[in-house]
Amino acid sequence: MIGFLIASFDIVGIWARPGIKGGNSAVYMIIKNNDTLPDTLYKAESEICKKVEIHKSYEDKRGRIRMKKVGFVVIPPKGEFRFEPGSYHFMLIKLKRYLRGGKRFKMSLYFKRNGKVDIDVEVK
Amino acid sequence: MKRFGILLAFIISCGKGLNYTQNFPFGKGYVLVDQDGNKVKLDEFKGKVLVVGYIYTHCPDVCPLITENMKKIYKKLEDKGLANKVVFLSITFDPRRDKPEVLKEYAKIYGIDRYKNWYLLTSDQKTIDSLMKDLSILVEIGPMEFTETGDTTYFIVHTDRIHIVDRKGKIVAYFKGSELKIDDAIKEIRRVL
Repeated sequence: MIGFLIASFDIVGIWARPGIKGGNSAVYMIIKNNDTLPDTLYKAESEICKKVEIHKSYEDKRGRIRMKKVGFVVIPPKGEFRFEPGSYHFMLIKLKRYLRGGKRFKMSLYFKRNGKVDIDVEVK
Repeated sequence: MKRFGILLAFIISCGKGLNYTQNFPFGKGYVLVDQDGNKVKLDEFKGKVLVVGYIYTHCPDVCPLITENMKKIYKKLEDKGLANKVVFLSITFDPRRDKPEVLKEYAKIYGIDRYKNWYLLTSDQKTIDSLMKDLSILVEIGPMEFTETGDTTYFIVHTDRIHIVDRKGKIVAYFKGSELKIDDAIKEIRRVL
C-alpha cells in the first residue's frame, strides 16, 4: 500500500484504474485527518490527464448509475474520507497516455488549510 | 403486507429483478462487431451459456467494477475447468467512442485479451439503442463537458447489470454488475451448464 504522511494527514491506499489514452480513469484513496480541525479538499490536478474532477457515483431511483461532480469534500477532524469504487473518486478526464497496471504518476491535491499536497499514484 | 415485504427483500437480496423471465434478444437479426473488427451475429451465441455485461470504456468507476467482476467469474470458472463452457460478452452502449480498436485496447489494459471466449461488442448507434431497449438496459447520454483546453467529453447514466443466459436464450439471472457476489453468479451458471 502506498502511503503519505503529510502535515496532519495520512493518505493511504492510493491507486488508479487502468485507462485508455484519450479516455478516463479514476483514483481512489483514504485521507485520514489526524488534526482536531477539519480541512477541505477542493481541487486536484495531474499531468497525466486534461482535467481532474471530484465525482461521486450513485444509483438513482430507477436503478441507473449516475455520477455527479462534487465541488469539495470535508475531511472531518480525527476522522477520514474515503474515495472508493462505486462512490467518491477523482475522475481523470482525457488521459494523455495509457495507464497500464504497475505504472505510476503524480497527482496534486489542494486543501484549504494544508495547501498543496503531491502524491504518487500506482495503477492497479 | 409484512409477508410481501419479506418476499421483496428476498428477491432483492438474490440480485434478481422482477423481469426474471426475460429472453435474450436472439432471432432479431442483430449484427455486432467484435474487438478484432469481425462482424458477429448475436444469434451465433444461441445455444451457449452466456455471461453478459454492459459497459462503456470511458466510464471510470462503475463499468470497471462490472468488468472486474466478470473477470472474477471467469477466473473462478477457469479454476473449476468450466471457463471454456461459457461465453463472455461485454457489450458497449457507447458505440460513438467504443470502436473495435478501443475495445481491443480496453481488453488489453484489463487483462481480458487472453480469454478467447470473451467478446467485446459494438455496432452502430441505432443497433445498440435497439439492443439495449430489448434488454431493458437504460442508457442516457449526459451533457457535454469541457476541459480548460476546450476538449469535450460526456458521461453516460446507465443500468448496472450482468446477465446470465442459458442455452435456450432465457435470461436466468441478473445481477447488479458492480456489486454481485461471485459465488451467486457461479451458482446460477452451474445450474444451467
